[in-house]
Amino acid sequence: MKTIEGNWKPRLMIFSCKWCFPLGLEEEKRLPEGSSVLRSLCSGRIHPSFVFQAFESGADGVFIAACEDGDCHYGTGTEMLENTIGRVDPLLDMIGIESSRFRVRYFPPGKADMILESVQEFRDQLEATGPRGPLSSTPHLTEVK
Amino acid sequence: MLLREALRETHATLCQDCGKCTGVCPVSRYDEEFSPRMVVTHAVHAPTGQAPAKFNLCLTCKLCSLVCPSDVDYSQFTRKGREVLREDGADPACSHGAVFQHMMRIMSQNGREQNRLSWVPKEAKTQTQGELLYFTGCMPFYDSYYTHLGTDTQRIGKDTLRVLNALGEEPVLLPDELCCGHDLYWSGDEEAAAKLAKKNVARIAASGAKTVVSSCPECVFMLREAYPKLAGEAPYEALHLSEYLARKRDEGAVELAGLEGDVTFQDPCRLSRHLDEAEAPRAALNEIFGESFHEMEHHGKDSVCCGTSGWMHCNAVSKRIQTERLREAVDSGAETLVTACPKCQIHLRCAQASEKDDRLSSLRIRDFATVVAESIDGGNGSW
Repeated sequence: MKTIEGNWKPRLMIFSCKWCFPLGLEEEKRLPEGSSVLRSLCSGRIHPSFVFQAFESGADGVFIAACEDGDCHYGTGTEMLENTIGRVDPLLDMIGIESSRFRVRYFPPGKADMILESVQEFRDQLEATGPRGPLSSTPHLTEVK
Repeated sequence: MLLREALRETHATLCQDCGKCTGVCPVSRYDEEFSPRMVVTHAVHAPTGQAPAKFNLCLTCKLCSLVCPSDVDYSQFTRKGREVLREDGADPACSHGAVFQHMMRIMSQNGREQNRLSWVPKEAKTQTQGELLYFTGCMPFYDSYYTHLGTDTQRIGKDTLRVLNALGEEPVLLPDELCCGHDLYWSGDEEAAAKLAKKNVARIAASGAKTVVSSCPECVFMLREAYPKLAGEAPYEALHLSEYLARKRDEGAVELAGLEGDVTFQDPCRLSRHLDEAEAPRAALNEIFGESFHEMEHHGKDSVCCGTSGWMHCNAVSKRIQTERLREAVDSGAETLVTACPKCQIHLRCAQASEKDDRLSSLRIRDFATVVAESIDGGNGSW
């Protein structure tokens, strides 16, 4: 269902751990158009509620970038994320949001190109899928220009 | 909305400062800083200023209203106070990062096809149009979220269908049912709750249902008490499973067989006080268990809430209330605690998960629907 005809571009919310997600990606505007980033101190802080809040606010897709198991700066962050984030997929399915709109990927530290490639691929897929239906009347997401 | 209006509408301006509310309040018992009468006093003195931040601590369990000589509806006062807080931009202190509130607001937006009936067993007889509708509520979601507690709330749905089928009913299940909005309503987001209410009322009406049965007292509270105001109409009769069963037993349509084991009953606050129904579940359990049914020290309309309501403000006080509730259940001589609300079950199981006392952590917790289903079909119809 397309609600915004013509020049619609997917709105992508990225939650990331600050240790695997280079600041330069955001500051040098290398991320795809329509992306917003929230860098947390550790991916262990990223809670399932973040994903739902992003969708509530009108995101077309949510991407989580986390450190690979064993690379966590604090030791247990990746494990904490893995323990809770698995709850998201079945809940999304039940409330009618395709699980293809949500993706978690793990990266080694400092691999900006790898992240960029993964985000771009996700964004292309979202563009092919189309908008997620009517947007919330109060979008909180600010797009990176 | 000004606090002044809320004070008047809920009779809070008539507060006599007697303190009976604080005497029975389960939160005040463990949190010296919280007292319903103090919240009212602060609001009376500053009705246009900032609402007291303590609004979020109340369980809205309505125990205080039972003893109030001025008939103050403190639960509704709290709810309206939360609306004021929300308008002020304050954090409503929702638990689990407000994940359920976000899901509810997503549901209140338009245009999504849900997949909420995948748990329905293929043996169950249901239909898409009919006089009787089973409103499942958010029960199917909880198993996916509380994976660490071993809850089986979908069991409640399956067993409710077992009971209704055994009574000869083929209930309607709505594939596009939405959350009843209870938690948004009580956390001060009446606007989103009203959107859900209007959509649900229209969908129920389109199904042709005259009677709506739910296994969740919160859904029944919304469908019966709140929807007429939120949606402007409620053209159906809403009943909790225990009330529907009581009616069928009066008609002689069903007989409950006896079951073994010592049980007690945790009255959900929405059922026993907000809906004024403590008798229906008790009558059924008395027939099933006879002398093996025991009452806790606080029971019926005087029962204590399960420690958290509306997915708001779960803290150490909640945990102490829950632990005390488990202790009362064990002290009553019961091995099984039966409750009639999926959230009571989740909250009490959560307390059990960190409980060091084996007597409390090994208490079995089951839902009313499961016990009744077992009594009706002897456990043979288990899906």
